[in-house]
Amino acid sequence: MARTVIPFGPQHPVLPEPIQLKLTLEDERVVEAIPAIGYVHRGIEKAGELNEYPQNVFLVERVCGICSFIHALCYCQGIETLLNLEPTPRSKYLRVVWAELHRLHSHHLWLGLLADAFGFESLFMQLWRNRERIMDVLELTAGNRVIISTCAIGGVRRDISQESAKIILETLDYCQAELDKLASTLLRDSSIRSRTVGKGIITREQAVSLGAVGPVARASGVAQDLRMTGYAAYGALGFEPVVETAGDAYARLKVRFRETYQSIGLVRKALAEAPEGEIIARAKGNPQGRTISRVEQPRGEVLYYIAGNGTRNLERLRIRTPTFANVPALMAMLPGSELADVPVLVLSIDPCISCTER
Amino acid sequence: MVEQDKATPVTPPSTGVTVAIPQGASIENLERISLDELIPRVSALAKEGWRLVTLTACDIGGAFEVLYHFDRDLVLSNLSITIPAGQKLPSITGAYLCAFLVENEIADLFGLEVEGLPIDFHSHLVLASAAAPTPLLKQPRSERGGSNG
Repeated sequence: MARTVIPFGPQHPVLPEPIQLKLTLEDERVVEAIPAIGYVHRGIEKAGELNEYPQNVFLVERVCGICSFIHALCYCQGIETLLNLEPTPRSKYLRVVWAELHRLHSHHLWLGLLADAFGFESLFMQLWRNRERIMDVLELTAGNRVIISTCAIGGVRRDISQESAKIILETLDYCQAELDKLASTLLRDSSIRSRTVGKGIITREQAVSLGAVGPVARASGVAQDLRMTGYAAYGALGFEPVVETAGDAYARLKVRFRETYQSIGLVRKALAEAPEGEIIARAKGNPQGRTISRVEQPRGEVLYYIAGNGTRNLERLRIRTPTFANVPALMAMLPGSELADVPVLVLSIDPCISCTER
Repeated sequence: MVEQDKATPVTPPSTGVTVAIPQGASIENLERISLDELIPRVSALAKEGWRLVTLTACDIGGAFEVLYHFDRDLVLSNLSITIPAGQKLPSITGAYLCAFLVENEIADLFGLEVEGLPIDFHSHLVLASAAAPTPLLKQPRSERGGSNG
């Protein structure tokens, strides 16, 4: 059969950011997908060498607008290792609060985008309305909605007052009630199931060999989540990963949907159990040596390799983001699918291209 | 695996190049190996079910250090090789196909040529055609010796 190569992206309705897939088709069936990136490369790793290391906290937040706090958290934990600095106990719990609020709004964003991808506009609007409430509490606690800049080397920059904590808890009650209302539509609606069940299957073995991370891996039965290592206050709060086994786009949807409830529970618990005390420990000296810091973002594992040379500037700052790790899995899930399913399958890895390119 | 990260300077196995490795805090489970050992060791890790997390390349002056990070059950294991400027880096895509992306990125950002790439973006995975080449080298390419550096 004759083959046709068509470009999918870099401009496409399901792609808020630019990536191109060169799709080789036989009739309407995809037989090969080759990715092309390079549209938004910003050279953040180089900037990380030119800045002084405390400035990089603000730089790395700009790697991704959706999980900005978690980038800063990963970087700060790495620098704290190099400085032999222990963050204060209270700050570890506040870090969990902000990290999970980011995961919560990120998963809402993705669930809404998925609904939008197949034209389910009312579901999209309801999910994003819920997301706005979470963005409001980020603004309440940090003064900003997206780049909140509350994470600092040694702890956090701002405390969360009892009054703010009360508003957060009320907001979470509202969000959970809304999610309860949307659950049956998201998980049982025939149009959603027909677009996701059995589509883009990645087996557990493929997920591991292709280096998949986050919900993409967990939807294929890989019970791996960096929060299991207990960084920040996750160890004290107790954590079990959300895992599904079908490996299809529907399983990836279920993992993210279930993780919204998990994030709500973690924020509630962190606010309830956060000890009183200082929110930041004073950092002294300059980073010396090298370390690897890993945390779990909404899209999966992020890795920071940080090398210091005893000066204010780092020798090397390397960032591997989760979408970068999930692109090979996307290349494996597309062959065999219909062209009409490609947009939903691309979306099913929750691609973040500005993260990928840095 | 043995932690060997505090000694400096070091002469990595079979390269003959003496390089400066940062002192101070160190990476757990890091093992320095020779270039000849790379493919067999990586293939063995793939068979044992380790996930390739990523590669990290560093310009260490006259040579590159390339670290290979692997994960199994949330434990990180790292291999390190040192490769003189001008020498080609063998691709590990035979064991981990997913490495092609990061190997292309290293070629872009460091000018380190990778041998055996199944998909070769010819130094334009992340860099635009008009972008300055090899932005992560410590010195501009024109001031360095060797075809790679």
